[in-house]
Amino acid sequence: MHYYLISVVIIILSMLPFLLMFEKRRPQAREIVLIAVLVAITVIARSVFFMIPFFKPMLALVIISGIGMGYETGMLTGTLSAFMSNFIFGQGPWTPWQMFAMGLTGLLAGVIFSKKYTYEKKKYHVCIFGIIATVLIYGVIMDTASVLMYTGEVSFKAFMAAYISGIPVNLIHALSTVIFLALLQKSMIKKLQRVKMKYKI
Amino acid sequence: MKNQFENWHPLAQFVYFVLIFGISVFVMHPVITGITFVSAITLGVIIDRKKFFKMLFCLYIPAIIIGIIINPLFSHEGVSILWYFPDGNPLTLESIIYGIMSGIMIGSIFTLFFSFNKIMTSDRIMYLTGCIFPHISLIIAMVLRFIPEFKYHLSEVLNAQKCIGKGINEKNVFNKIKNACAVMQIMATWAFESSVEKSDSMRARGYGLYGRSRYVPFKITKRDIILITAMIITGSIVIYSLCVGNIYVWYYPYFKINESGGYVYIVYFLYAVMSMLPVFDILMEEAVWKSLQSKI
Repeated sequence: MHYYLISVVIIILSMLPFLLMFEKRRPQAREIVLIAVLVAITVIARSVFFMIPFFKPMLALVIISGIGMGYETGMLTGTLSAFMSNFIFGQGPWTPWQMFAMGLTGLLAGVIFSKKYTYEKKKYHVCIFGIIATVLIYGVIMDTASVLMYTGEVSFKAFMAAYISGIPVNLIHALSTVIFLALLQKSMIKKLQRVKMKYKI
Repeated sequence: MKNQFENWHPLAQFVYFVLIFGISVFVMHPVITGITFVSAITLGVIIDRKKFFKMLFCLYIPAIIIGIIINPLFSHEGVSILWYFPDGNPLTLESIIYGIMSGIMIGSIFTLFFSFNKIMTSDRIMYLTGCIFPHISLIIAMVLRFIPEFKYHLSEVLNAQKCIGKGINEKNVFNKIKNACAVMQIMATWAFESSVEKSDSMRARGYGLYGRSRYVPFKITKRDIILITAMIITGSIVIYSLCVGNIYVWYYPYFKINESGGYVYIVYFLYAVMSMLPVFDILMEEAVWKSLQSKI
């Protein structure tokens, strides 16, 4: 189980600089409240779709906030919404992994779509990014976490078994992310950019 | 009734959970893992018996069984071969022992998280994060307020949408999702607008000015300081003897455990006392309470 402990420590250490950067910047009240609103909407959205298993809109909303508000907000929204939603659904050994995976997704979304977003052109790019992020970032990280949680050994076979058995779950998750991105991205990003422009955040 | 463990200072609870999680994840020593497992189950039973047994049979025992089964299937190391799988890989005694130990460890981590979720409530987490990340702790506090507020607003929006025939209780799944997304957009518009109002009123009340302190609802007492020092001393003795190699265990290629002796027993005893501290505290408090009750 050394692998689990060491990897959790590495995860926490890799998240710390971003959080400390945010603290050092002394963010404005508007920024803080907006991040809190984004996190709250993401958490609420998870509990709205709680009935359908693995059908989670969280990643889609994290990607949208990363695109709309920049990579730092995306990262914070991802990390904190994973943390906060587990207050409702229960914390566990998976919490740091979820925080890391969702934070990374938000960060990458912000970095990749950093130029001014034009929703007519990049709609499909964002959807494709959603699929890749769900399967290759979130799915792979969570499957790795379950291997490290259940077996102390790190063997190629165990990892392959976990990744292969995780494919259907990841595909449903990717499908839900794409559906939500297709339905929500245009209006949500427009709203976010409007708020950003109107109130100079 | 509030039990005594809930009355500890958040820092003391945090130190307890970090030490016990760290030590139980760090080694898979039969005695140490056994002590963790027993104390985790006792703590869970004492904190909330009904819910704990429900969780135990629904979630923890299946997780333990999965943990026990998985290892012999993937690990074929070890010298004592018992049987051959159809694909030619051996089933070894060592991998079975390792599987059982990892199952018990997974069980103890899950049961510890049960107590963790019960004890470390969001206000305590907020206090602890606030020591290092004041702004993030503020975000957490706001999210905790926004969730019930948004839920209330969400139900209002849902009812209004239902009246115009766009409810989310439709049979068609795609329509259901589409209507739910519409509801979320309405929510988002309202939330962004209200957020700016909230932040303006925050600024008007002086947020971000120099020399502001934060509200601390917890007071550190002498008992908490004693508990924290006791836990840190015992924990570091255990970790030291694990690192130096007085307590060790090998699973592969053959099962070997450290020889028992006076020093090793003392370390086991110290670890048992440390992991049982909250249980002792809760039971002692109950005993005192009962002894003080009138005998008439």
